Amino acid sequence: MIFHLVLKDLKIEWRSKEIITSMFIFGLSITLIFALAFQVAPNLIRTFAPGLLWVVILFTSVLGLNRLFSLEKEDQALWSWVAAPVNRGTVYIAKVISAFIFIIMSELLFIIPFFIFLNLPSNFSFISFALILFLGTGAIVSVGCLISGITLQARLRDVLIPILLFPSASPVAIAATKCTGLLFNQIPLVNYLFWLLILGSFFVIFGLFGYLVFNQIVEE
Amino acid sequence: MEYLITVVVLVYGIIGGWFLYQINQQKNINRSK
Amino acid sequence: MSFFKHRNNLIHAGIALTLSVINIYIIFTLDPPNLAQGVFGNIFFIHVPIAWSAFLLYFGVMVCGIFYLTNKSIKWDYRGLAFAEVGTIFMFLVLTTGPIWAKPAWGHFWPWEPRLTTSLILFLIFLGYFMLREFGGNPEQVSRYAAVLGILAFLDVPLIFFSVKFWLPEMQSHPQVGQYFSSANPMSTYLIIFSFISMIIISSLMVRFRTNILSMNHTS
Repeated sequence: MIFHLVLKDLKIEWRSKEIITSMFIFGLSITLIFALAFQVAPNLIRTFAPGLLWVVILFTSVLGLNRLFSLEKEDQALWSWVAAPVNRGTVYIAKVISAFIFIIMSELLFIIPFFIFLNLPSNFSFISFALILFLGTGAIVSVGCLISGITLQARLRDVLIPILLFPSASPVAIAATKCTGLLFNQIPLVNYLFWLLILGSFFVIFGLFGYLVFNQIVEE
Repeated sequence: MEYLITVVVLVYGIIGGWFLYQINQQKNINRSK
Repeated sequence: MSFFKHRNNLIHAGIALTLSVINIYIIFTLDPPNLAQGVFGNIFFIHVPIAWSAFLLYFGVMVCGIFYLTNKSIKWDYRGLAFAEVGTIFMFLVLTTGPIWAKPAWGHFWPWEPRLTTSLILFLIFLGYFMLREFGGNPEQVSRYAAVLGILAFLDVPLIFFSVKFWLPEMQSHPQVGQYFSSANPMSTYLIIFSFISMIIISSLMVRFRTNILSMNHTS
C-alpha cells in the first residue's frame, strides 16, 4: 500500500518535475546570496559552510513540503484520503518517504554547485557525508510532514510551515551542523555518534508520533 | 537593587494586569448575554 | 465576576495573594546566597520557579492535547488553550527576567545556556501555536491540529535540551543552580520550594479562570 502511494507521488512529479526543479533553483539562489553576503570575509566561508549548508537544506525543505502537500489539496483531492479504506498512518509514512526522496534528489543536485561556488574542500569521506545527509533529511521530513498535515487547511499555510518547522527542527540544525563541521575537519565518524543518535531518535520519535496521530489530522 | 525591583514589578505586574484584563473580559461577556 | 462568586475560587485566589505577598517580602529581605554578587542575586528565586512552572504548564498543554484527541470533549480543548496562554505568559517572564539577571551577574545579556535556549525555542513554537489557532481554518479542525501541535512541542523538549546542552563545550555546566542549592544557607532551598509552590498556585488559578472564561465565551 505504501509502495503504491509513494509511486503515485513519484509519477505526478515525473510528469511535471515541478517540485524538484523549484527546490533546486531555490537552493541555487540561496547559495548565490550566501556567496555574495560573505564577500567581506571570503576565508570565513569555510568555517561557516556546514551551517550554511543546513540553512539551505531547511529552506528548500519548506518549499518542497509545502508543494508536496498542496498537491493533495488541489481539486478536492483530500476526499480521496478520507474515503480510502486505508489507515491514515500509512498515508503519513508514504508522504514521509516521498518527501524524503524529493528532498534528497534536489540536495544531490544543488550540493555540487554549493561546493563549487563556495570553494569548499572535498577531501572527506563521501559515505559519512551521505549518512549525515540521509539522517538529517529524514529528521526534517518526519517533523515537516506532520506540520504540513496540521497546516493543510490553514489560510496562512505558506507562512505557518516555516514558522512551526524552524523552532521544532532546531535540534536537527544543531546536530547536523555539528556532524558536518566535524566531517569537514576530517574527524572520524565515531566521535560524533551522539549527534547521529539525536538525528536518528528525532526521526523515530516523530515518525512514530505522526503514524499514531495522522488519523486524527485527516478526519473530516 | 533596582534590578530586583524591576523584576518583581515586571512579574507581579504582568500577572496582576492579566487578572484585571480577564475580569474586564468577563464583564463584557456578562453584559452581552 | 461570576468566577469569583464561588467559594472555592475565592479561597484559591486568597491563598495565591497571600503567598505572593509573603514571597515578595522574603525576596526583598533575605540575604542572597552569593552575597559578593550583590542584592540582585535574589532574582534567581523568582526566575527559576517561574521557569519550572512554565515547563509544567506546557506539559499541561500536552496532557490536555492527549485527552482531547482521545476524549473529544471540548472542555479539554479550552483547558489546553488556557494552559498554553498562561504558559506562554510565564515563558515570556522567564525570557525577560533571565537577561535582567544575567546582565549584572555575568556582564552579557544572553548566556547561550541550555535551559534558557530551550525556553526560547519552546516560546517560538508556541507563538506558532497561537498563529495556528488564529488562522487555522475550521474551528473543530483547529482544535485537533492545536492538540497535535501541543503534544509535538513537548515531545521536542528533551531533544532540544540535549542538543543545546552538548552543543558548545563551554556552555555545558552552568554553575549557578548547583551553587545555590549547595550553599550553606538552607533558607535558599526552602525559599525556592516556597516560591515554586506559590507560582504553581498562581498559575493554576490563572488556568482555571481562563478556562472558565473560554467556556463561557463559546457557549454564550
